[in-house]
Amino acid sequence: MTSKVTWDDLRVEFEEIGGPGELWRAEIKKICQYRIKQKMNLRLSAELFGFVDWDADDLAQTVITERLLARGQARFIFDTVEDIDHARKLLSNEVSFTLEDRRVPNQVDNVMSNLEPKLRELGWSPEGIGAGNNSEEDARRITEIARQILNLKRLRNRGQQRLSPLFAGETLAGLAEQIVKEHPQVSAYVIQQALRTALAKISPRVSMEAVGNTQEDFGAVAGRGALKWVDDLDSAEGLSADAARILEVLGSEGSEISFLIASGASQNEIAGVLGVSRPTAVKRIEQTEELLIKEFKSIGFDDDHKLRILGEVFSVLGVGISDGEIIK
Amino acid sequence: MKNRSISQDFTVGQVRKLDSIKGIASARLVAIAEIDPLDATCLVFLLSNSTDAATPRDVVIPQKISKLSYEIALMGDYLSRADQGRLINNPVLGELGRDLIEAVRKAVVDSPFGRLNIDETQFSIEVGSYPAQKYDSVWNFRDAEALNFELLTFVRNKISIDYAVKFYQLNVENQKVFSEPEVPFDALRFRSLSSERIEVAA
Repeated sequence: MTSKVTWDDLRVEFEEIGGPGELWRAEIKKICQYRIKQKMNLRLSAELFGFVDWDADDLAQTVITERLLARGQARFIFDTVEDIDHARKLLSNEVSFTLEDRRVPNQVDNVMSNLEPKLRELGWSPEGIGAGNNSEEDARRITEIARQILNLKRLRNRGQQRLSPLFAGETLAGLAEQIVKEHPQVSAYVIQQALRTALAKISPRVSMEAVGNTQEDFGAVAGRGALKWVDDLDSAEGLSADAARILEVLGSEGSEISFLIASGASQNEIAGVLGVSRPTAVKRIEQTEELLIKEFKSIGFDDDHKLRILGEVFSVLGVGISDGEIIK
Repeated sequence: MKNRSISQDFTVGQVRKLDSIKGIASARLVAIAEIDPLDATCLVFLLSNSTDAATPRDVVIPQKISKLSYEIALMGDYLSRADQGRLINNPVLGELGRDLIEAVRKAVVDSPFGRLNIDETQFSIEVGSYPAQKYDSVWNFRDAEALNFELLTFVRNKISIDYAVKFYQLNVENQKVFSEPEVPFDALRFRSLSSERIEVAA
């Protein structure tokens, strides 16, 4: 039979040894066991929090060293608390902070950290007035932004990196512009929720073809101007046939490279997407360009028609051209 | 006399524990912002250890300034009144300094919304940067802190009978204060009634 621990026991122990002792450790371990159970129920791996395996002793030790001792939180609890329930609440907070501090950034964090500077450049502020209050208005915003994210052209993940970039820098810049234009006061919370909603639907291994390769799929983003080159149905059908043939010759990698170049991706980004070194990527970019030049030469039409075919190729890839500028 | 001895123990900027109210609200650390010896109360700022989640309305104060063993966040919008009796038995844990407290009070009033406008380098402090967002865990935490603080403290009503009774009881031996302009009318009435009783008894 174990006796019930009181705050006086913890306080006396703290006073005697000048810091948290065995009784404190036992209390923290109990909280850690509960938290670990919660995480396991959610099927969250210990690796997500920087641990090899879920172990209450390891977590308790981390809480004690990183929070209670290193940040003086044991003393704060000692100074503030008057009963064991309050102590347990504060210790529970410390366990939460420890887990949060150690959480390995996920894809939402990655995309958000790339998107946020672009939003800030446009004058966006993360506080967001009237946002994040779980209202219907927010739910609508989250759905709209999630749809915009899903419509973005994603970079191909070849499994080389667990968190390889999902979107090219210019693609995110376009998204930032759209968000600021349509939801100028949206909060970081809403954008994160939208990213969470959208990315939950995206498999990192989804290729460009599976994402969508028609104008309609990218309509929300390409929209406006994207169809400018297609003047009438007959000519559109002819252009589509030529574009499809060129894309077939380019192959999936050539198409991807073409899209990335058109999206403004750097050589490093292209190398990351292809899972090759930068020099190899440069070589493949050159090969793709040579292939494109050769194919366009073989078409034999005038330059204006060639440009229209190129526009159609980009359109199929999810990139539009408006007034001589590439848009996505 | 009692109130004088209590007030002498307090100075603006002191960090003390504000006692819990059993079954109602748990104890918190506070920084004294103003002392009123006449009714033995103090205006206090709520302090929090959630410095990682300090918002632009909070001021994060390092150990070297506060002389505490840990970094602390002063929650600028959480200022309320507490009885000195619930602070007096607790030791002074740290000192934030009168100037800093005055600067925070001024900043809170001058800028009721948005980031607190305080000279961070002058006081060697840092205004929080965690973005305040409704209904996330930090929002809920602050909500709970506000509720707890509200239960620990009170808003003084100077024309209430409670205030007059307290004023009279605390100052009954200090007749000078009854000639001050701020003395509650009911406290004067209590005094005159008790004086009459003394005269009758004599």
